Amino acid sequence: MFELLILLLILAASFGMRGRGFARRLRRELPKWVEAGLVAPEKAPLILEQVAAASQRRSLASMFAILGALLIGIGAITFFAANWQTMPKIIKLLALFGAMWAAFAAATWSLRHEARNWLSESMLLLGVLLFGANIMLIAQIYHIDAHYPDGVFVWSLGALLVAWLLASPAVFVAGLMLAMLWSGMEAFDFSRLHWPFLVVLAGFTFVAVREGWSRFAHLLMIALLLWSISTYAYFITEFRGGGSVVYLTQLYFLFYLTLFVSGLHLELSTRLNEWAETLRQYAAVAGLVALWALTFPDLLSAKLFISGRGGVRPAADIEWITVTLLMLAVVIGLALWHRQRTLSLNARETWHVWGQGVLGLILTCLVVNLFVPGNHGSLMAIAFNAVFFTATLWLIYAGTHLDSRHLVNLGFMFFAVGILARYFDLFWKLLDRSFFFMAGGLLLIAVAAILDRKRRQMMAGMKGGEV
Amino acid sequence: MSRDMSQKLSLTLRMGIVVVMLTLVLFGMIARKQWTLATGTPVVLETQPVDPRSLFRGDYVRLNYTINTLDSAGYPALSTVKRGDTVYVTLVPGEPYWQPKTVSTECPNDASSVVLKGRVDRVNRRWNRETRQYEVSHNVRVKFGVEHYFVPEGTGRAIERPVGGEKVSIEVAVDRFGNAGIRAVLINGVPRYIETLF
Repeated sequence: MFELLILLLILAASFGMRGRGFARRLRRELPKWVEAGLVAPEKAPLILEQVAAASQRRSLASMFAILGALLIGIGAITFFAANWQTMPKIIKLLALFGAMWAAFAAATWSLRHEARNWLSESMLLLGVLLFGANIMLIAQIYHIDAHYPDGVFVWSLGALLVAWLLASPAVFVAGLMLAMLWSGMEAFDFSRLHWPFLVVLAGFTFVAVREGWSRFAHLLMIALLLWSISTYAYFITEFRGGGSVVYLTQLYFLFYLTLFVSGLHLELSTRLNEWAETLRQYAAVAGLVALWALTFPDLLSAKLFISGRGGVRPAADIEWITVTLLMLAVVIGLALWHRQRTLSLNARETWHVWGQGVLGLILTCLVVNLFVPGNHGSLMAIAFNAVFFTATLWLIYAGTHLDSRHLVNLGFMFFAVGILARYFDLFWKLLDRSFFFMAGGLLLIAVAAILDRKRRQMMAGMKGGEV
Repeated sequence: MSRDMSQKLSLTLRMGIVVVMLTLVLFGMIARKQWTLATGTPVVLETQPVDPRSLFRGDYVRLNYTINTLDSAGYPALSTVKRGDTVYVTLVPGEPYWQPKTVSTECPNDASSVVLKGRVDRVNRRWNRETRQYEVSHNVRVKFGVEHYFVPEGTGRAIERPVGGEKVSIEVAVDRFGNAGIRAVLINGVPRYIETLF
């Protein structure tokens, strides 16, 4: 099953990475070159056609070769897994090592001959797959019964080394998948809080940044978020106090917020700004999920997690307060730094100011909630609902300004999810819900009217300026 | 290594580093196990095999040793352990099998004893309402890294269910760091499968 998972994910990544990056970049850059007089206008479409055709040919050959490498790798694992006794150990070892060395030798040969470059990725991938097969099969031959995730960890490190030294995207994807598998095994099979994964993830991030593989930002963010979910599950089972789930959810929200603000910082970097949008998108989704969880009155009172009748969440103890305030300090520090950077660049816009206002509201709710016990959970739920819906509106606003369709869609999606949750929320009576929706509707129409008036004023001002 | 530096290295050198590093890791695995088998003290342990299949590595016999299950009542050090902790079991010779004498969470500095290093695999815990902490309530399951013996596909049952009332036991070697390796599978005290380097 794990082999199948790895196979599917490598295939998916392979389809995404084959040669399209250059064609896409060329399509973007070519008009500028034409404008600068570097390329004749009539030649531009021909160049694009040529590149697209060549890229498709290379891409198909490469993909079939990668498929072949995967099948050979998995075949090698199952062949030796049969533990065929008629073959002496020394012959088995020579075959195992020889196959791995041969794959790397073939990769070297294909890298040296430009016409055979289509083979290099698949041979590097095969070399890494055989390295993994060798780990497993040497463990079999010598009855090495170690902590089994360690084998996957070493395999992943080997892939990282190859991806780093030989700049192989296919091996990079395979290695990252293996690292995720390793962390999943540690977290779910051994119930561990698996910090070491962050070090390995940092290694993969370093290689991706160095090679300019920003298309793998999605994969890196998925890995980070899955890891964060596994740590959340660990903490939930470890801390069984009534309020833990609430305070922990707040901390995770702050963590995702930290990632989001880091994404805003990356936007300002000339070297790393192509990573910013992906980071922001995933952090926004995760942060909104955490904030949405905090809008449930039953979670805030923690009735679901406390045994006995009438039990409610106590106010946070000093440990939760300290950790939450430390995380708050990090978020506020990053936000203020971003404010300073955007001020100095004269690039700060209205959506920044509104964003800081929304951020202030959310952080105030989080701090107040630390000191309010669960019997006032419904009051806090109202506050959290208010800031949640405000945050979704701000996302739509910010997305419009940043020209990010993703943020706009995200804002609408979470607005709808929030509305649905409140509609089916049995905590409030139907009449209260009716008032909530009608008041919200009126408020939104009022906001729309104000925005439209502002737009008209701005347009009028622009016309006046022109005159 | 910066991007510029790695690009300056020739392809042959970069590939050489990859091949040497990966090969060293694999040789290291073999060398570590062989060192334990070559230098370790031979210890015979009582076991009851079970026959499952490994995801990557084919068929194996799962060996369930008597010393895998330790009662926390008899070994006070086990009362505070949790899953994943390392424990050290001091073994003493018995007839015919070696037996656990003491269990500690720190490695005992006694060169004359045979000490087996293990990892806590499962702990039965109960929540103490008064102390608001978990306590070990019963047996603790410990693994020593010798619980799997790989066999040719379809032959595991010969060890799992020996005929004619034969008794299976395992001879392991325990090195001075507490690491163990299977040296031989014994049927009625006589070695049936012996492990060698090649």
